[in-house]
Amino acid sequence: MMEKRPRIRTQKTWGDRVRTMGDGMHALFLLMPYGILFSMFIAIPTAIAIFLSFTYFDLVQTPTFAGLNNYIALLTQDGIFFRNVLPNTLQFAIIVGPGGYVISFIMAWILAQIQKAPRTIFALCLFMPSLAPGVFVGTLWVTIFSGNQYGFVNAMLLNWDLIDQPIQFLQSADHIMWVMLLVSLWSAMGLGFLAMLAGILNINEELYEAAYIDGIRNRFQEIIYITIPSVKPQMLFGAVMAIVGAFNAGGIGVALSGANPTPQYAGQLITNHIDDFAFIRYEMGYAAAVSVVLLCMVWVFSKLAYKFFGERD
Amino acid sequence: MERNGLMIMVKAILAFILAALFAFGSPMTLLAVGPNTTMTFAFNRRGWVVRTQDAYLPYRNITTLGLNQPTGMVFGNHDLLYIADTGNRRIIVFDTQTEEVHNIFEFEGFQSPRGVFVTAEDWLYVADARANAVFILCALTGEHIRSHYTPTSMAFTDTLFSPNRIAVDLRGNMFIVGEGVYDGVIQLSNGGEFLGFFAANRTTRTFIQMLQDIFFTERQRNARIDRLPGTFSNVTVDNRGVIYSVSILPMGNFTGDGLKRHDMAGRDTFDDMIIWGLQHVDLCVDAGGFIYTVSPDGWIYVFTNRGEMIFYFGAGHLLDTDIAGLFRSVTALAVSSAGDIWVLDDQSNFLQSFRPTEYTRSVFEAITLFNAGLYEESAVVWEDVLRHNQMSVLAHTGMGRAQLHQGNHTQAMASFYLGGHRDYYSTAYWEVRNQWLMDNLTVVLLTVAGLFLLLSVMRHLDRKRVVAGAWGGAKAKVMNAPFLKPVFFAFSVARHPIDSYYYMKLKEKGSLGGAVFHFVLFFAAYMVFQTSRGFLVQMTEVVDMDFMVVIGGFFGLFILFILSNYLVTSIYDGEGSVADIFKLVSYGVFPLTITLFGVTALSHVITHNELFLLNFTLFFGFAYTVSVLWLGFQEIHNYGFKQTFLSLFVTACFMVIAIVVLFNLSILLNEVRGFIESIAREVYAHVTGMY
Repeated sequence: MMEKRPRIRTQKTWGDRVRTMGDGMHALFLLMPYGILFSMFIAIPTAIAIFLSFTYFDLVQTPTFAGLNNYIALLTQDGIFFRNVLPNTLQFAIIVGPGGYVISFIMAWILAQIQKAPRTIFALCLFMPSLAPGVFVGTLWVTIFSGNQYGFVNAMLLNWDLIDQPIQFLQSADHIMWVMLLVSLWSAMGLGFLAMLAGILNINEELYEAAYIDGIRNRFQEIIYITIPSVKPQMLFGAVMAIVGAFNAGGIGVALSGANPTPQYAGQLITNHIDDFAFIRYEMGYAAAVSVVLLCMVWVFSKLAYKFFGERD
Repeated sequence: MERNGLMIMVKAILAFILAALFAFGSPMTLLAVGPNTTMTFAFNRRGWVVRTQDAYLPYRNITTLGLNQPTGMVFGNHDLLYIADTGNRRIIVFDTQTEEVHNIFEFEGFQSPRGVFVTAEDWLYVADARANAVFILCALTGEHIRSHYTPTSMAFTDTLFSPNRIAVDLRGNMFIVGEGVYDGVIQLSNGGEFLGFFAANRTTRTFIQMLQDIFFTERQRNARIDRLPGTFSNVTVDNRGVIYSVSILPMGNFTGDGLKRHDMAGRDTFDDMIIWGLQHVDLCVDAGGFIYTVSPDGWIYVFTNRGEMIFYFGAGHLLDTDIAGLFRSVTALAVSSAGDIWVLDDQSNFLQSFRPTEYTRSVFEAITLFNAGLYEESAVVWEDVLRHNQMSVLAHTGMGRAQLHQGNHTQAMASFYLGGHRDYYSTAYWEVRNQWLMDNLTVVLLTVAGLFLLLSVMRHLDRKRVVAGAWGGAKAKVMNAPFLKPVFFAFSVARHPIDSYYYMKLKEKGSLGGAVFHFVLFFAAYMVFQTSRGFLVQMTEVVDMDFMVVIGGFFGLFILFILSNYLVTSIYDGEGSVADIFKLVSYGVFPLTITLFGVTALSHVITHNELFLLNFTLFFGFAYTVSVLWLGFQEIHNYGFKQTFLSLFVTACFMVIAIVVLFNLSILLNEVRGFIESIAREVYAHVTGMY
């Protein structure tokens, strides 16, 4: 309990008020650059999207208020959403999110064990796919999985007589999903990977030495007792990035198959669904409603990530 | 005598069923044998082949035609049957309605006419193997129209042109099965020009052959025995011009090439043929699109236009006695417009016809109606089929599909369940569930949101944590109750395995009682998972389960694992006792227990669409449990990674050896028992004088 100070003045003078207001303005002024940018690029668009999700809007006429109709339609009438988009998105996110996260961590840990020069080269190689995903998908993977006998995989399989006609990897509903998963896992080493690599490199070597003196015996225990606790903040960042990335990935299926919707909706993710409604059918209100649902999903899963990886104390 | 693999499989299954019937004295033994020399089989809802009622009955038996090794037979227009009487170098035109010979064509060019085909324009195509030619006659008068000899095209090279069978499409292109040609069916244009080989059969390779192909040198590869594809035995063209073929496949060829329907490029358009080892010599497609094939020993298969087997019938054994419906060597089959099947035997030189029963007619009618889009009408007929045969998978599935088209999803689900058709069941269930979601999802979401809101409001009001504190206190009280604490300890094992196992080893936490509890819980989860998953993923039904194996296997493996792990680790410096290992495993499988319960519950509300969710949960549960157990072994036995791996590997080996030894021991003991028993019987017989 703090000791009560003797009151000197019972009433604030005008001067005091102006002065304190000036302080407040000061703070506000300092916040301005961030505040303006944040509201311009994030807060206001999000608010508009949420607003639009309650309207019917076709980009030409003024939005008309539609109440919860968009959401009700999404829940009750959108067969494609429930039959294809939602299962696809969940499957994709569950495999690519944690999978890519684990691969990122393992790769970062492996790279942290080697010398600086090769490490830089390898890190650059691994990070490259995230720098220019469109280019890689368009040139590399489309060529590899091309559906004629000149596609690398098909050529190889034909060469070994494992198949007797080329498989339409990118145009068939049976294959597009796993090709998407493969390509996404391959390009999973993004910002999260760099953060974790930096985190692991920053761990104080003395911690390991101390731990060996205290009785840990192998690399596994090193990881469990030292590495992971030390890079927890970076891992949280990586996890959130992985989740957001996995849910927001959408270009991949369209880039691979060359069409939106993807063949028989087999590779249709929620982002493709939004694109489909927003920029092909021009139903902005409905697309906004789907975006809000996506936002909620990402939010819930990020919360989970905080629960798992966040600092408790 | 070549027996195809399918028949052997069928027989094995039949033998198994018979054995099962005798063993359990099931009422199914009452299934009566009809007044028939043939038996009819179809799939039941478990995908087994079972005896069903007669689809066809032997009808006419024509022995008076004076045939000599006839090989080909086809129906022309007006129900006239054209028979290639190979041995007598002639074509017999037989009227199946009056049962009289209508005409005999004896063209001078015939040397061994084998394949015949009649087009809608009444042109009779005759494939003559020894004359190396295809002769075209007028089907009404027998007048010679033209002949085609060995194609002169460069592409045909020096292939032998020895036509065995022939079919002609609507444009007059000829599809010829040639003797000794492996490249495919010879395709000639209507002018006799060689168009190419059509639809070659595939060879299959075993895994070892695949490796050989990759690693062998050129010389080794050439020294190897040739792998031959199946040879075409016959082709036909239906009334829409689609080409079908049957092939005889070599042993071990599982390409599904036995029966094919071809597109214009010659590819097989039946993707999911249920019948694999088909080895048939002739086929026929009737006006309704039903496909009939026949094997040399007289088994006749009937398929829908989608390549699904409806049923097959025959006698299956070759006899020298002449009994209606039995054959020595079948060479051809043809189906009349009335649906009668006519079969030709080239050793006994006779014609045999089979007439469809009422049951068969209903089945055909229902399928035809369904294909025409008359779903309600087809449902009525399926109902009729079910009156004949309540177990008919086809009828239940057909009913279900009709109901699905009408939007009766709940009924369709029931029908597909009875028909054992999981794909369709999943589709129907998706619709039912979707309807439920449409009706209730909004309410459910609003309730959840409301509860969430209520909770946060309460948390806001409860600043002084009066309620929360009381709740937490009560929770702690329950969790710390002396008999519940060891039970709840499983949660902490799952969450912090290393620390928890360390305390368990020090006997500070966890107890034998708790371990027993979790072991029983795990057993319950295992049994629930084994017996009560949803229909879509419950592949073996409870009635088909051998509970001795299911339960005995569980306990046997569990006990064996604990004992062998103890034996192995005690010589590998392991520190855990039997009780420790038991506690370790029982507590460690807790995540799997939860997973199994969860997956079982989940399996009732998923469709094939969301199957990945189930697989993923199961995989995650297993992986998590294995990791927990692994850490447990490290902690309890005080092992490093390598030692843990080694000890578990040796444990697994030990278990295999123990199982083999126990198995041998039980056989030996059985022998000893038999030996003692026979001695006792001998003694008894001698003493009493009763033999």
